[in-house]
Amino acid sequence: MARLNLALRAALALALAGAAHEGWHLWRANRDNALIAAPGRIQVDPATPPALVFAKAYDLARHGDTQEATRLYGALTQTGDAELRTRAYYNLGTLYLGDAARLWNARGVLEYVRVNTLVSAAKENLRAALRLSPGHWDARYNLEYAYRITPPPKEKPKSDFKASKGSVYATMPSLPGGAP
Amino acid sequence: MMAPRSRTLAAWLPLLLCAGPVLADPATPRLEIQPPRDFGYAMGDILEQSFTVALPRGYTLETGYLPQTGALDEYLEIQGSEWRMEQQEEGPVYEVRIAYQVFKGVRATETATVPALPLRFQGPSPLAAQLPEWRFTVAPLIPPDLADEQVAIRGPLPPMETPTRPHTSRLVGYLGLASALLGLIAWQRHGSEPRPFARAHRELRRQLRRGATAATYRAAVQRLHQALNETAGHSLFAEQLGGFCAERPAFAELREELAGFFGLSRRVFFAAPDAPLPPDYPAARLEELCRRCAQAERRRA
Repeated sequence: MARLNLALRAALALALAGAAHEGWHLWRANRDNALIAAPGRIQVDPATPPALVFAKAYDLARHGDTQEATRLYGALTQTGDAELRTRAYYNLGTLYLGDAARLWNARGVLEYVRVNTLVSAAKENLRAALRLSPGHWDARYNLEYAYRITPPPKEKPKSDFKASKGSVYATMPSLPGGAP
Repeated sequence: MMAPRSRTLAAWLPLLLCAGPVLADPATPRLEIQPPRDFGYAMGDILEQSFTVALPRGYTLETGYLPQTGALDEYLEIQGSEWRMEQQEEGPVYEVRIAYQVFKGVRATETATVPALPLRFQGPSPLAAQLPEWRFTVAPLIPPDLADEQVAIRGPLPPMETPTRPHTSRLVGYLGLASALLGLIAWQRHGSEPRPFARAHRELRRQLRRGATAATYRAAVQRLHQALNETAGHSLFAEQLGGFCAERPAFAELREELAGFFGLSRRVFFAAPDAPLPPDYPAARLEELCRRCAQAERRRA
């Protein structure tokens, strides 16, 4: 009877500890969701949860700060959560692709190098997203578009060098002329 | 010009036809290919190649030479390969599965090729086999007649809210469990199996709070006797007190007090039933004895 009593008290202590643990997680999740709804208030530092970093990056990209958004998405691709990494790779690839598409449609081959660089980065990130999540249809679609707007490879300039000459005499010094 | 499908068949047919005669030669690996679907693939799709290779006794497949995860060519990546070996009477049988991921961007349906895969074996004499190349078709996801500048790329994914439902469910569960356990503990303390002294103490407190009269005092003594009888399982008399305490060590320290109580009981009910309340044994002392008995009862539980 005493043992049962002790077991009941131990179980009660565990249940209360579990409730406290879940309560704390719930409080944190609600706090994070409030920040996700107002990403302007998010201050990114090494301790910021990845979900908040993602929200900040998304907000920065929306407001035109693609450089900082790219940096934050890039950091997120190194996190452990596969789903978040997939989303970060996809958004990063889409960010590069958007820039490349605008440049390609506006300037075409005149911006060959920049378009090529942006498209390559877009492909790399979208492929990474698809490796993690092969069924990601948006990533598939955008990656196909990235291939579509990949500029054709530049032709190599023709070399003037000829390996064969018309006559060996063409390269030999002439025989000295002379008369007695 | 051969259609892609026909070319695929043309590639597989000699191998499949060879499978029969091959059985006759004991030093030849027997390759059985489960031909996959060769159409309807698109960007990002995974295609799986499965085959079985049965080897003569004494030979093993060099699994280290199976393709490793990573890029295979400009539009195919190996997602992974796995194999399983089963030792049979004739020799080992390997089941191999290789998963490729397609990264081919096309504007119209095109044919792509999984290159031939040479297989290497270890054994007493050289042995070789090759999985033939395999052709399949890749279709575009973007309508081919849509100009590049008219294609709207898919937008970025918005942030996801942190899910709260699992935490809420678990919190409710834990709180429910804690409530149930609290109820169980309370029930065990106060209302489960009969705890005679605990109940007697509650009743005594209620009775004596209203004031101790001769009648209530006698009723209290009777109630304490009743609790003793219930605990002993029979009517308990003074001379049985030694045995009672020996069986229940928790009550040992109360033995003297209980002997005094039995003396009081004799006085109240037999020696001087009409006498006023004994001044040496007020109702509060009776209640205190009952409380200590209830404590001993709990310790015993």
